[in-house]
Amino acid sequence: MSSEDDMDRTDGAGGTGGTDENDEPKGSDGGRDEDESATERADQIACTERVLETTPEAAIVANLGVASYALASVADRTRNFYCWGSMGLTTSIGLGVALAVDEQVTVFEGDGSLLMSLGVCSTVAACDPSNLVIVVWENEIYGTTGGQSINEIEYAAAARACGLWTTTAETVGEFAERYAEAVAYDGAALVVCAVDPIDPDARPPLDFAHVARRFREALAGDGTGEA
Amino acid sequence: MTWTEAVVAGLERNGVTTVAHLPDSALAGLIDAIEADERFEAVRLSREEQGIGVLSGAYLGGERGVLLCQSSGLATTINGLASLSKPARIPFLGIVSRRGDLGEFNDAQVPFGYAAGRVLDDIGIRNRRLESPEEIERDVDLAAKTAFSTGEPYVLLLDATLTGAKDEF
Repeated sequence: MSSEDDMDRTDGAGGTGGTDENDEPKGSDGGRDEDESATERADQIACTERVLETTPEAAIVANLGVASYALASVADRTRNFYCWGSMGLTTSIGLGVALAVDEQVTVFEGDGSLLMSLGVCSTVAACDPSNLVIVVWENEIYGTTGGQSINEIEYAAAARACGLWTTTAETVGEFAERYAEAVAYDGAALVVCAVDPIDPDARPPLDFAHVARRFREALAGDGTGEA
Repeated sequence: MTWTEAVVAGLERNGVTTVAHLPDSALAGLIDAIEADERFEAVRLSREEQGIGVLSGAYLGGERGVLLCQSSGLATTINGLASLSKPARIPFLGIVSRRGDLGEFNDAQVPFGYAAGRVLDDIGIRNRRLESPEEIERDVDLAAKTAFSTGEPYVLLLDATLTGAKDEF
């Protein structure tokens, strides 16, 4: 349904291209005043808050780096699985969780990570779990390595070509609406959200095994966990 | 019992339900059997590396899984094994047909296939080469048990002498 009205996106057409200050991620609360980009961009922290308001019990799988730091700065929950490595596998992890549980599973994917493993969209579409929503934070940079630019593609169009239901958002309000639609959709859904680059100070727990164990206990905890 | 039936029995006995796979001629019979068996949820991957993610996620959600693929596909999983399975202490079970040794006709399969066990050793992933089918049910059973008990990956490498090599000579 909202797949069609994605097509009026104007990013990439006459944008400011390489004239942006790409050498450093901008702060979440600044840098908008001189932004002449053709595309509006949402605040990733505010969008992350909307996800937790809309689906407070969701199991969230967050890509390494900015997606995890933003989530940790909003709420460090037991139902957060933060990746510390394995870039490119975030959506695959979310798919596995979604196939195993009957609860809402939301992936916070980075555009660089998804680009690294676009083929996973076909794997998700083939399984099509209705409890899975993939949010792609499109900041157009490799945020964790210093803000280097990413080869731009149309993520929603690519995911749609793989068979996924997709939608896009460019403001916080739009994102909240589209995310709710994606949660309600009876199948796997992917929301591409254009966001300003941010550089949050918060960090998830560095004890990766602890993060995994508490997430598993929160989802499947019945006292029988082996790990 | 064929070796394929023995693998299915070993998986079933250990509560393995999620089976991620990519096509492989040596494992074709096993994959067909899994896909036709309602006790398993088969996930067709588009790249073997995704199997590390899917099966780690399934484990975090309370399920046990296995990856079925060829050694060339195992090569794509190294970063996932090293930067997800090992540090997060998420168990992983792989049943991999090992190319590149006896019976190999294709030089492109040799460098990784022949060295697969050593590469896994170097990143601390336990593994075992099976050359004949006699002990395969026991080995699948015990590999699953130790992987899920210790929270560590374990990879069984099935040589062409077990699975039957492609006759392309």
